[in-house]
Amino acid sequence: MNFASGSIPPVPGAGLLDSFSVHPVAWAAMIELYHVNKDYGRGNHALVDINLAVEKGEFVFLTGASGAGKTTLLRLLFREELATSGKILVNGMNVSTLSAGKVPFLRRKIGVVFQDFKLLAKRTVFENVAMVMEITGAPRKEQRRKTFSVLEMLGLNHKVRSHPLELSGGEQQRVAIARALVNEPVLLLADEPTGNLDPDLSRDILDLFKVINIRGTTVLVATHDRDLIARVGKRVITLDCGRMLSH
Amino acid sequence: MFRHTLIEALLNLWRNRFMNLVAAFATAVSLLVLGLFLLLAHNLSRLVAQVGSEVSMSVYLRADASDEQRDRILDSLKGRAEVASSEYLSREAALEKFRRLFPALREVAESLEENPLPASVEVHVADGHREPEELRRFAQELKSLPGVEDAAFDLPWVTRLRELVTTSRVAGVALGGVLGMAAILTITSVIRMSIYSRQQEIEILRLVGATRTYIAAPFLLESSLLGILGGGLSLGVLYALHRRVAASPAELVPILHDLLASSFLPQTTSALLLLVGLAAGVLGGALSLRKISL
Repeated sequence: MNFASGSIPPVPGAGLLDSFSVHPVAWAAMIELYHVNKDYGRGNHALVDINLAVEKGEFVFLTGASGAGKTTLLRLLFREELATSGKILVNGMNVSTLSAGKVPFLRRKIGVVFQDFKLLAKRTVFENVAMVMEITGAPRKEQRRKTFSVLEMLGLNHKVRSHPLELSGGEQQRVAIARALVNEPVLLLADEPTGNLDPDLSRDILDLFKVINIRGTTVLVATHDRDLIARVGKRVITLDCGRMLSH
Repeated sequence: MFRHTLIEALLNLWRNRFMNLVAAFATAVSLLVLGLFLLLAHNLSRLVAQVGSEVSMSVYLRADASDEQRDRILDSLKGRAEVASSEYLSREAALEKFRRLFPALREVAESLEENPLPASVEVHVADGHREPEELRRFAQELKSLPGVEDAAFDLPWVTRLRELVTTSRVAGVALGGVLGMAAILTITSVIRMSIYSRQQEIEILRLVGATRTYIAAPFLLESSLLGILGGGLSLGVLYALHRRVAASPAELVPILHDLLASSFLPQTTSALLLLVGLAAGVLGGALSLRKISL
């Protein structure tokens, strides 16, 4: 599916999407943004009239120079910030009108890989990853099984007892990815996931995202690394000074 | 969830043990002051109860009261609920008592041509009828009986004691309240520091989908435990003080002995002290979490 820049996909019955958790019927959308603006005041427009749709199971790159609004867009998706205007649907949930009490449950469906990893230095690799399952109240046995399984998939099974600061940048990045994946999210958001890594490691991480995508998770990767994007050959959304340029 | 809350709360208590001890001590001091006043009030009311049991009333008969009037007065007293027992004291018996009580004044009594003392009835007031207002009404009623000159009772002493009990309770609650506020503020600051020191962890928990309850519960439990610890400490120190005074000779400072060592706080009041500590902890925790976005 290919959408023209700045246009809303021609969805039959799109007006019905106003209500919470109404899911589009004609096509399965994971992310929908309608006329989304984000202002930080004093003429600082982080995002201007963004319209876009990402299908379930898609792999999409979000690119643009530093300050283009990539991180802001990701933060809007997991409700770390609220849009100034416009509507955002994630997995059928209207993020803009979601009550504070329901935000955690949206976040549990989304795995986020942060640019600065956001790992807890005082906790082991295992604890950093298992923590995400613990907050959902999953039984301890299941927590252990899934945490070990995801760490094994990422080649970290020999580092379970290490602390983040004892690991290399690439290993820390993989722990952050493991944490984002352990809850089997429907959507994976990654903010400059290869920003701190050498080219070989960057390729490995990208390959990993492709595998995750093949398994059914929708992946949205924000990066300014054009070489990486060219190598993978997936849909690209470009932001420039808060405006969307192309798909 | 409960396991996580308990482990995190205990870990937090241990991580910031110095500050936590300060907070627990601050709570303990406030509750100790409150407890001390409650103990004083408790023993004072016991004292009042004892003194109150000795409340008696003297009904003085007129010099010209007839035997008939006297008998009617005695009869009417017998039927009254306010009267535990009564005893008639004739003029001669009164003089005899005077001589016995004041031997030095014996000669004065002998020199008198006429016995100046009136006949009287000593009334011991029954339990449950010792309220000053009731006593006053009863005395007024007796005064109006034919043949009665006056009816007097030792009210001022009882009233003053009762007032002292009320005053010490109010003073305890007021002082305890002010110091309690200080304790709540201390707990609030300590928990807030504990929250700040874990800001990064809280942020990450939030981002990966932890609910507000999941994040806040350990801090609330931590503050509640601090409050209970403070309450327990104050109760312990108060009991130690009570035992210490009880073990010392009563003659040293008799009033202190009476008011601190006669009896310890009843269980319900002790539990109340712990509850106040818990409330201070919960309030302190809630206040510290109020302005923090979770």
